[in-house]
Amino acid sequence: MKKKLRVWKNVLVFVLILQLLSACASSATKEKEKDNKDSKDSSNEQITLRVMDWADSEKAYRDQFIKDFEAKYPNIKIEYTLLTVDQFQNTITTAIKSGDAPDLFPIPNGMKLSTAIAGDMFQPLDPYLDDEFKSRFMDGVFVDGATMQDGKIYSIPAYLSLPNTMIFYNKKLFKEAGLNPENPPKTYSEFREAAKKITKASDGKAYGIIEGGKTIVRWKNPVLDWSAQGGSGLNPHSPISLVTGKASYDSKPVLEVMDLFKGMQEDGSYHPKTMGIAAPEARALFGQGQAGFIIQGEWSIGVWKKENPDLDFGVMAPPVPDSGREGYLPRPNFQPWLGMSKTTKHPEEAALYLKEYFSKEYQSVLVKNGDRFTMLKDVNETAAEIPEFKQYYELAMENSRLVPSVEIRNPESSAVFAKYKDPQPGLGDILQGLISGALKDPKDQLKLLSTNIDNSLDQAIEAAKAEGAKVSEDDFKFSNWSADKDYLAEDYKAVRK
Amino acid sequence: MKNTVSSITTTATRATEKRKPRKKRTMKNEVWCWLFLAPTLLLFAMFQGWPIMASWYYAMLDWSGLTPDSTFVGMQNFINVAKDPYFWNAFKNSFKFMLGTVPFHLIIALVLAVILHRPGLKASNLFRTFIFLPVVTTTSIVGIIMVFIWGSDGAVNDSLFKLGILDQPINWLGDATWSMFTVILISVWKNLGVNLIYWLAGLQSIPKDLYEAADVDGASGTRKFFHITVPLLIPIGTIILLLNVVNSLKAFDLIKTMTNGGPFFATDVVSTYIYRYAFTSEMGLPQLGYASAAGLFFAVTIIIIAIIQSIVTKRMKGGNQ
Repeated sequence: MKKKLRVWKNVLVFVLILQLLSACASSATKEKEKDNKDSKDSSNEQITLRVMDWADSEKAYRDQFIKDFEAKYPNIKIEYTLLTVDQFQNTITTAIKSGDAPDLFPIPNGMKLSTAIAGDMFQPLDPYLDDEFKSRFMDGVFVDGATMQDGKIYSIPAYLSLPNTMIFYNKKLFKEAGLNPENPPKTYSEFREAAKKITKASDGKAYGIIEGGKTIVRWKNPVLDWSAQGGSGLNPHSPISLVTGKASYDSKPVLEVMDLFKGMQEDGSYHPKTMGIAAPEARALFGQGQAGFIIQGEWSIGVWKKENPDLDFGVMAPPVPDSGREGYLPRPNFQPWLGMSKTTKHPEEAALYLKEYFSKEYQSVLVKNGDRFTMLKDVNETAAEIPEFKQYYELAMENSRLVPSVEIRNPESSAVFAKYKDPQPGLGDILQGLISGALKDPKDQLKLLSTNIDNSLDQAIEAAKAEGAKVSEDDFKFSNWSADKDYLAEDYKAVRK
Repeated sequence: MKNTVSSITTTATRATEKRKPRKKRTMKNEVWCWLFLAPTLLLFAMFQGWPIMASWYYAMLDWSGLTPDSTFVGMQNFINVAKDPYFWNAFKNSFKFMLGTVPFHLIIALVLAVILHRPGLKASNLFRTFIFLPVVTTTSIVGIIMVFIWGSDGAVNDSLFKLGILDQPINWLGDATWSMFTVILISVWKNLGVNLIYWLAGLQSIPKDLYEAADVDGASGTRKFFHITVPLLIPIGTIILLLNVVNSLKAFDLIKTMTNGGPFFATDVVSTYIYRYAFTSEMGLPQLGYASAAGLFFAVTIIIIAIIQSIVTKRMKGGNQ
């Protein structure tokens, strides 16, 4: 028995020694690797720059950009990870916590810049970017509260934000239904009637309108934007109305948009697949000529030009209420996007990437292919070649007005947004319920939503105040805002006084 | 008498001598058992135990999951969950989904297993493969493909038209009246194979001589099924039932890809509800703490059901004995 025990002891000691040796060896190798890596970095040899985002529509152009970048800077290898928005939200938090954050990554959806900075996500870009780089951008790109904090640049927007609820229409279906493609509908009634005519003339082969019914935001955005043309004062920068200073989601302009869509559903104008598909599928079916109208953003144009070169389509501004226009589409301010990780070991190389990515050459590629409008000066005007893309830009600028931003007025208000709990069901859910037939009358739901949003905002303001933020309900009210004018830097100055 | 006493003493001494090594052997066996269990226990602690404990902590925080700052709110998240009518709608839908799928999973799979278990059946392996095929197909892929098959102009409506059953298309996934039914139907088809395998394993464990004896006694097929097969399958049946109940209450990927919980929450189950709060928000940040509370609230319910089921099973077993 004793002999057996001794044998076991020896085996155990042997295993432990082996493990210890292997651990030492492995840590020694790691140290050696680290030293090698550091020495390589310092001698400006081979480094890997990690970039992570969710810009899927850009993938083909980005792949080429990375190839060109690596060819230009042979010592830098780009490790690019493309995720979905949801995947990104999960991944980035873990990556930052474990000290493994990518060198460049965008701010998570819904997060304000100061929250990201407080969370040790980004570092100031100023030491690495010169004045020439900063001068490439339009006025208003680098503003405290949006992309800057305490006078330092932390983030660069992805694109020029335009309303993404313009209407694309199929000219061939227009002609078949006896409509004039050069004179698209202008009011709610005309729009509804046109969709009805297209459905009737197509006899089951096509329908008046198609939407990605499973994508809630594709229901929410048209109500928010179009109701603003009716005077709702709703906009994507704030949960409350600029007109009433309250969450007036049950106001007349909102109900009118809801009634319009409900009416179109009753007419049988919606493509029957609408409720079962997401936005990309709806875009594809419109591209195949299965619907007369679709409400979408400018990024769709590049997709159709590539996938459906024979599609003959036009762009039109959203219709206004029959009683006339009371406002304009809300045009958002520049939103923060790409930033440099606070823990990056390669800030110079990351800055090089930013300089090349936000160069006129690469941004022109994106504009030329109809992927986005850039915020670089003059590029949209010179690089846009697709007529519909140019038309989109002109129509969007003509029919929208820059809305005030609460964070630009008071950067401390980001503490309110960090505490704000988005009530559900939201505006998009309610319209989806109405079109699917699950809701008969949206009025009660909209009233409840308005109450919930007001309460949620009050609670968020109180919670932010309790943590020391200098904020108040007045930050969300802009007395000098006018529905027909762009809200500019001087307006912020005036309202702050 | 003396002889008897000495004989008893000798037997007792021998018994004590024998007992000692057996005790040691038992202890040694136990040590080995724990040693073999250790990796599983360690992995459980790391990947399940710890996250469960962490969820309890997160559930008591007002936290987005994206920022380092969080506020301890105690049971407030649980109170808010209990107050939200849409949580209870998701809760109800989860049970609706469970009650819709589990009976079919059990009954259809059992009937198929009995048919495929018959010794003379030709190509039974082929049938088993066909039925099992959906199980090995990724659920999210099944969900995406089914959106097209069950779409308003998909194959299902087309077939029903041709057969003269329908005169206008049904929006199987987009209509709140039909969406839950459709999701249940596809889930039953998708998971039938795995239940078939469970039942086949159960059927193979029944001794053949019981059937042979019944044959000798002249029992009919139905009598054999109800008096031999069913009673002997009850123990494995309860395990299959438990697995199905738990799995159907956890359903996520199929619903997420087919309906995303819609239209207007008609197929919103607790998993999609949790996902929505944990990872998405149209304005402001997501609410991971609240989502954790919703998850735990629901988990406790499942545990209670599992306990009730285990008590019932024990009583049934006791009754049988």
